[in-house]
This record gives sequence, structure tokens and C-alpha cells, in this order.
Amino acid sequence: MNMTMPLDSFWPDALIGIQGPLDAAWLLFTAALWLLSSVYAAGSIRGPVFWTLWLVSMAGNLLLIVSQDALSFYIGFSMMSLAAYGLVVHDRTPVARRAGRIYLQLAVLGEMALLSGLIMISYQLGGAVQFAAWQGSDINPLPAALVLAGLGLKAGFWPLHVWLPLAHPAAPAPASAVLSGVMIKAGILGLWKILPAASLMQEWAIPVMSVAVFSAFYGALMGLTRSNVKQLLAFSSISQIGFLLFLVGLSWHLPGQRSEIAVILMLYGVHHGLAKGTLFLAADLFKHRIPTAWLQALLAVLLLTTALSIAGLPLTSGAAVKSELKSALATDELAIWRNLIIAGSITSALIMIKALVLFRRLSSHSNAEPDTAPPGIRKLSAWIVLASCPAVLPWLWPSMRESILYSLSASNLWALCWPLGIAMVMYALGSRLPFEADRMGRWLPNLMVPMSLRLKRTLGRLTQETPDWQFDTRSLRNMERRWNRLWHGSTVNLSSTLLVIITVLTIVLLST
Amino acid sequence: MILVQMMRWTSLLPVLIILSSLIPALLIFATPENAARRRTILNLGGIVIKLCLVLLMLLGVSQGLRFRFEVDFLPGASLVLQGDALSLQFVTLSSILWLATTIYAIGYLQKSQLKSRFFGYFSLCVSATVGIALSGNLITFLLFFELLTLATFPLVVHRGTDAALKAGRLYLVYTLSGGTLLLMGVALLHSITGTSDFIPGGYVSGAVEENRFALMAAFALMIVGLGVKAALFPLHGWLPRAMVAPAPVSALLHAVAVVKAGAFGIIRVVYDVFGVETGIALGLTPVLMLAAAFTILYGSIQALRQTDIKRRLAFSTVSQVSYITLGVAMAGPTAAIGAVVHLVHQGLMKITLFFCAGNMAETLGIHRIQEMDGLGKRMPLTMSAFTVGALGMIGVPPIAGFFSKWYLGLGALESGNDAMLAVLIGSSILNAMYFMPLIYRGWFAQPPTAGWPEDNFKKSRFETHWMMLLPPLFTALLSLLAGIFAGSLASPLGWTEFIISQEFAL
Repeated sequence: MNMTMPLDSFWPDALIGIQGPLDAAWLLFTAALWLLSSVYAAGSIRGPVFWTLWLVSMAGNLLLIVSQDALSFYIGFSMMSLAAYGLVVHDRTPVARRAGRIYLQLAVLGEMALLSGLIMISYQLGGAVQFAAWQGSDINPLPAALVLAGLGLKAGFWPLHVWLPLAHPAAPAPASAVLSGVMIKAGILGLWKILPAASLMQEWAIPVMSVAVFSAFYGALMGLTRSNVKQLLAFSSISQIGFLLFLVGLSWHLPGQRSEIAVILMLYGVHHGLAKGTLFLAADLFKHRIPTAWLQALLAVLLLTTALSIAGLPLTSGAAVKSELKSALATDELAIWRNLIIAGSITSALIMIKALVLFRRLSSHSNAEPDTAPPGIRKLSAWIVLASCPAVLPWLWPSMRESILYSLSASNLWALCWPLGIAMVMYALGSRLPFEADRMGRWLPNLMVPMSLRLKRTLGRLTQETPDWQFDTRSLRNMERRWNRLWHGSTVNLSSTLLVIITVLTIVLLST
Repeated sequence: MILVQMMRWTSLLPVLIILSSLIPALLIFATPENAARRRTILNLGGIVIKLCLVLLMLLGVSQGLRFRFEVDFLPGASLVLQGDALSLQFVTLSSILWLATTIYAIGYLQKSQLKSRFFGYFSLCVSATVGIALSGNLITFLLFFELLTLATFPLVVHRGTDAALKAGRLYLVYTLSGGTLLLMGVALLHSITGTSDFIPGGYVSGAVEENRFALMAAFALMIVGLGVKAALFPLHGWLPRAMVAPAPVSALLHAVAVVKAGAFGIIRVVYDVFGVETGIALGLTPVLMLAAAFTILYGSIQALRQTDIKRRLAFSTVSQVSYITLGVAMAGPTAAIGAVVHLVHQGLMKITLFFCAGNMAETLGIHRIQEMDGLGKRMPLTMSAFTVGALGMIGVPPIAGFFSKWYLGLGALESGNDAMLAVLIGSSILNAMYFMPLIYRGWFAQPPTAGWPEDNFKKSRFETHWMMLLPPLFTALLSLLAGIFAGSLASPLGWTEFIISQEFAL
């Protein structure tokens, strides 16, 4: 599926369009998630600032997906990133403002890293900006590292995740849904589009894959220490973005299989984006009182399938992508990675079980309070449509249907079920231990928080100092006085000065 | 024969373009103070005529016509006006911004005294600026450059307060000294090589062997002289002080005329007098580049330290105008594109910011950054325009400033000055640090509970007087369009590529 259109009268060499199934599928699911989140947000959020920035952010996100050149990508990327600041701070609470500040500081930093990387690559390739010219060419390590860091700050894998657990929970639920569902995927898509699978990236593949797997474990384990459901989901995003980064790294490691891996990346991105969007919206939806019992049951079932689809529950989109991922790692050479991924699905399952426990607590709390408002029709309808995706999508979408049928073989089913079972047992045992995971989260401080505050204070102090240097005319007056005194002093003074002048002049004249 | 040649329309057009603001200027001086309508008609009539003439010349130049006017002036140096692609870039910019600024000034100065004096000098300034742009050789350039200095002074001191007079005196001290140095440089160069027309590649290369040091001295004198107006460190001191002038004058200083004249002069001297290769051979461009790079960072850091909105903007100009100098000094075609296009882009964005700052001051009495809290609720349109300008300065796409930065960055690598890319990126980060708090306060902070310092124009249909609202929206829109349609031939970037292809004979 290839359609591109040059935009001649727009920025130089602008080329937008779709290259391959990855772009097409991500465009569709991104648009769908934005649409459903908009409907959901229309249920509660007012204010022109929010909605303007929402639209700018969405436009940027869609533009970067259809971009086939570096300028269009960067334009879309920065529109999306910067406008999303307004979504993060929408509530204007101190927590939201702090999260927004850190988000913005790192977003600007990331963009500058990305920009300098793009300029360097473009220069190296003779000013070319279209990705078609970038693919397959060797690039220098510095720009590659800058692009990796710049996009990594957006994608939010470890160790560039520091803003994510602060920003995603602070934003209103629909904003968190798009932040976690689609915006962080922009970083992954960017890595896929910009960094070519050339020899340098092959060298970097193993380190990147290691970081990715570490990020997958780190996110899940840190998430277990959280008792706020949105924070937990944010950490789960860090964990899941690790899997996506792993796929990007794998494509560098196995350049021959790039198109197969593109399909897995496409399925994984769509699956995780929709499921994570659903869960973030659920964190708001379940704060409402659900009026009828059958509705309660329906929502509970949908929530359960969505959460467990992230853990790879059979018959859901999660099962499809997990099986595909494992089959891509079927060779012996990659056995260690396969085992790590399987271990990763156990931690994914653990964090999702904890999420479900927290959700249950949340909904029983809000259903017990008679004053809590019921969700409006907008929120309910948008959420139900979105939440049925993990179960329905595999059967509607041909590419995913193949994978889900493949996952239905007995051995694959077993491979999916046993990590889930182990996770359940582990969770049951763990929750009986006299050990509070929640408290552990507080031991691990986020270094970015004090650093960002220090930066802010330094800037504040700078403006309080005297604004500008002024020449003090009084010092001139003093000099003049001294000068006058010299001349009005004794004749000794005068004659000695004259002598000095004459000596100097003589020396000068003689020497020339 | 000479008369016939002079009467050809291609040679008359440059003169007519200057006269189209000079004649209104003289007529406005003669207009009584209370004849507001006559003054407005003169102003706008002059602008419309000038825009039409400029359009005509643009079409002509893009068709390959040559516009040249010459009269005898000094022995060996005649007064030459010529319209080439580079001069037209500047003429078009200042004409369009003159339109916006005049409309703004009419709204801004409604209650002010001495309007005939103001608008007279204002038009005179624009005549001088257009003269600078159309100058065909250094002598002509010098003439209009000095005229600009003199015509701007009454505008800087327009309010007549102590602070204004002090700023005006400082302005004169700086710019007249600069003008003197420029004069010395031009005279020195004239004695070595004579004065010929500006030509791409310069005309001094033949004299490099014999007069190496004299040429270097001439270059240094001219750059220092021009650097005063271009606010190159350490010659920038007058610019932040001059912000006591009324907002339209600030717009004129920062975007339309004065600072731009300095930067434009540097472009002319480096490209069309010395030529890039001679500049490199004499070892002059690296020095200029380092000075520009230092000014960029220095201006940004100083801007960070200001609490007054207009002062912050003034230091931002110090920094941003040096992008132009930097691009010129990097001496490569791509960097040159970035430099020349930034002349336009910076003008559009900075004038937007000054218009907005003026609106805030006149409407709500807001002068300090802290007072901007919650401004977006009271003045959403002004704040939107301000946001576009500020983000553009940072280099956020798709606003025009991004494209200058992209070409400057590419040019830095192309000319082998990798460190300059770091300077550009560092400056972008600093720009973000000093502009984002303003945007944050405007849109996300709560408005003051005690109310605004002042609250004028309550009866207006819009958030402020429409003549003050329209110009910033217009220029903000232009800076967006210049970015979004940067690839089209009619955009500043497209035209700049045309200029540079001639300068570097690509």
C-alpha cells in the first residue's frame, strides 16, 4: 500500500503519504483513538485553550505519521509535543503544573536533540530530506545517537522515561489516553522511519534491544509499587514501549526480515495503543457511579478483557501480537531474547492483575457513594466502542486474523496461558507477604523532579538580579579630580611629568 | 541621450519607489496637527503606491529586467540606485511592514501630540530604509544610512520624557560614531579600489595582494560601523535603552528599518563588496562569525535576565539579528540562504511581538512579565499573535523561524563550522527558556484578582482598538504562511534561494 503526494508549494521537498502497511494501520488507529478520546473528552472537558491545543496536537500526530520526509516529520512532531503541554497542565493543580514543567523541559530538549540529529543526517546526505533517500545510507554515530535520544524522550523507554510517570497521570483521562496510546508511539515510528537499517544500526541493535528489555521489566516492576491506577498504567506504558523498541532493535539486528517485523510492529502498536487508551479512559470512567447492574457487568467484562489482552489473554489482540513476537524469535540464535520476552509477559501480566485490583477498588468506592454522577452517554459510548477493540479487532482486521488463528494452535495457547497462570499465582502469593510494595515506590526518587525545580529556580534568580551593567559616571569624575590635582600640585609634579613625556618621545623618535 | 536613458521606466522605478514615501513625508510635515484625515490619506496613499511599484519591480526582476538609476555625485562615485533580487527582498519587507506599522501607529497615537512630526519622520525613515536597500554602491548606501540615523532620532525621543531624551542621546552617540567609522571605512576602500557597483563576488579581489592590511582595516571599520546598527556585541547598548520609545517606533527599530539596515549592510559588504572568497582569504569572516556567535548567546542570556517585556524582546533582537550576521560570516551558500531569509523571518516575528507588547501596555498597562498572568482570557487574539511570534523565535515549526534555523544549521555543517550548530541549538534552548514563561503566563496562569493595572478600550468591539489589533494578526499570519508555504517560489525562502543562486553563481 503505497501512496505519496509531494506538497510542492509547502515546505521544501515536502512529501506526505503512506509507505507500507505500518503507516496505514497506525494512521487509522491513531485517528480512531483521537476520535474516540475526543468524544469521551467532550463529555466533561470545556475551555477553548484545551480544545485548540487538542486539535493542534492531533494534527501534528497525524502529520508525522503520513510524513515521508524529515521536515514534515519534525513539523508534526513538535506541533504534537508542544501542544500536548496544554493537555498535561489542563487541571492547573500544582501536581499537573509540575508534571507539565518537566514534560516541557524534556520535550524541548528532545526536540533540539532530534533537530540537530536531522540536520546532521540531512547534511551528510547532501541536503536530502526525504526518507526514501535516507534508507540504506550509512549515517554517523553522533546524529544517530541524537535522533535516538530525541525520539527516546518522546517514546519514554528507560532511562528517558522520567517525565512519563508524572505527566500521564496528571493529565485528564482523555489526554492521558492519547498521550500513552498514540503520542509515545510517535517516538517509535520516528526511529523506524528515520534511522536506516545500515551497518551502524546493526552494531547498535543488541544494546538497544537490551535497553528495551530492561525497560520492559523496569516499567512493570516499578508499576507494581504504585497504588494510583493512572501511575501504574503510566509505568505499564514504559514497559510496553520497551517491547516496541525491542521490535525496532530486532529489525536492525535482522535487516533481512524488516518487512516481517514491520507487520509485528504494526500489530503491536495498534493493539497496545487501543488497549492502553481504553485503560486510561477507564481510570476516569470508573470514578463515575454505574447506574445499572447489567451495565456494571458489561463494563467489568470489557475492562477485564482489555487489561488481560495486554498480558496476552488468548483470543484477544494481545494473544495475536505475543504469538507473532515469539515466532519471530523462533531461531536458536535468538533463544535468549525469546526467554526474556516470555519472562516479560509474566511481569506484564502481574502489573495488569494489580491494575485490575486497583480498578475494582476504584469502582466499588464510587458505586458505594450515591452522590457520584453517572457517566454521560458520550463517555459510555466512546469507551464501550474502544474497549471492545481487543476482542473484536482480531476478527475484523485481516492481518490480525491470521495471527490470531496462528495463536490458536495448542502449543501456542499453552505458551500464552502458562505465564498468565504463573503471574496469578505469584500475585496471590505476593499479596499475602508482609511486604508493602506501595511503600517501595517512595524509596526510589525521580531525580528529574529536583533537577527541574532547580532549573526553574535558577532562571527565577537570574531575572531578579540588576538587569544591566551601567557605566558609573562618578568614577569618571574621580579620575578628573585626580588629574586636576596632578596639574595643580607642585612644580615638581609638572616638571617630572614633562620629563617623562620628553624621554618617551625621544626614545620613540630615536628608535624610528 | 543621458536624459533619454534616465527617462526609461526601468531607471525611474527605483527613484519612484523612494519618492513614494519621501513626498508624503514632506507633505505630512506641512500638514496641520488636527488634519488627521489628510495625514492618513497621505500615509496610506504613499504606501499603496509604493506597494504597487514594488510589485512591478518584483515582477520585472523575476523576468530578468535590470533596474538602474545613476547621477553624478562625487568624483569617481556616482549615486546609483539599482533593484536586484537582494535589494528587493529588503524593500518588500520594509514596505509591507511599513503598511502594518503605519496602521498600528495611527491607532496607537490617537491621543498623542505632534503627530505630524511623528508621521513625517516615520515616512522619512522608510524612505531612507528603501534607499539603503536600493543603493547600488557604497557611497549611496552611506548617504541613506546616515539619513536613517537622523530620521530615527526624533522618533526615539518622541515622548519627550527624560528617559526618552537620554535614550535618544545614547542612540545618537552610538549610531553617529558608527556612521563615522563606516565613513572612514568607505573612504579607505574608495582610495584603494575606487567605488564600483555592488556585484556578486565583490570588486576588491584584485587589490588583495598589495593592500592586504588596508583592506582588512576597511573591512573592520565598515563592520564595526554597521555592527552598531546591527546591535553586534559590544555595540548593542543603545538598543535595549531605546525601548522607551513608543511601540511603533520599537517595531521600526527592531524589524523594519534600523537593525535591519545594519544587517543588510553586513550582507552587502561581505557578499557584494568584498566577496566571500576575498573575505575568507583575508581571514576576516571567522572573526565576524565568532563575534556573531558570541552575540547570539550573550543576547539570549541577557534576555533571560530581563523582567520588562520590551527589554526582553530587545535583547532577543540582539541575539536574533546576529543569526543573520552569523549566516553571512559562515560564507557558504546554504548558510547564506538562512541568513538572508532570516532578515525577513525575524522581521515578521519580531514586529508581531512588539505590536503585541504595545497592545498589552496600551490596553491593560502591562509592562512587566509578571503582569501577563491570565492575559489570554482578556486579550486572546493579541496573545495568540504573541504566541506565534514567540514560538517562531524559538524555532518551532511550521512558523517561519524554523526554516531559517534549518538552513543556518545545514550551512554551519556545510561550511565546516560544526560548533555553530551547537550555538544555534543552544540559542534555541535559551529562546525557549525566555519565551515560554511568557506564553505560560498568558494562557495557563490565573488572571490577577486585583484586576489589571489599567483597562482601556472597554467600549471597543474587540479586545483593543482595531487598528492596533489588525497589524499583529496580519504579521503573525504572514510569519505562519511564510513557514507553511516556505517551499513555494513566492515565499521569502523561495525568493532567497533565487538571490543566493545569483550571489554564488550556482
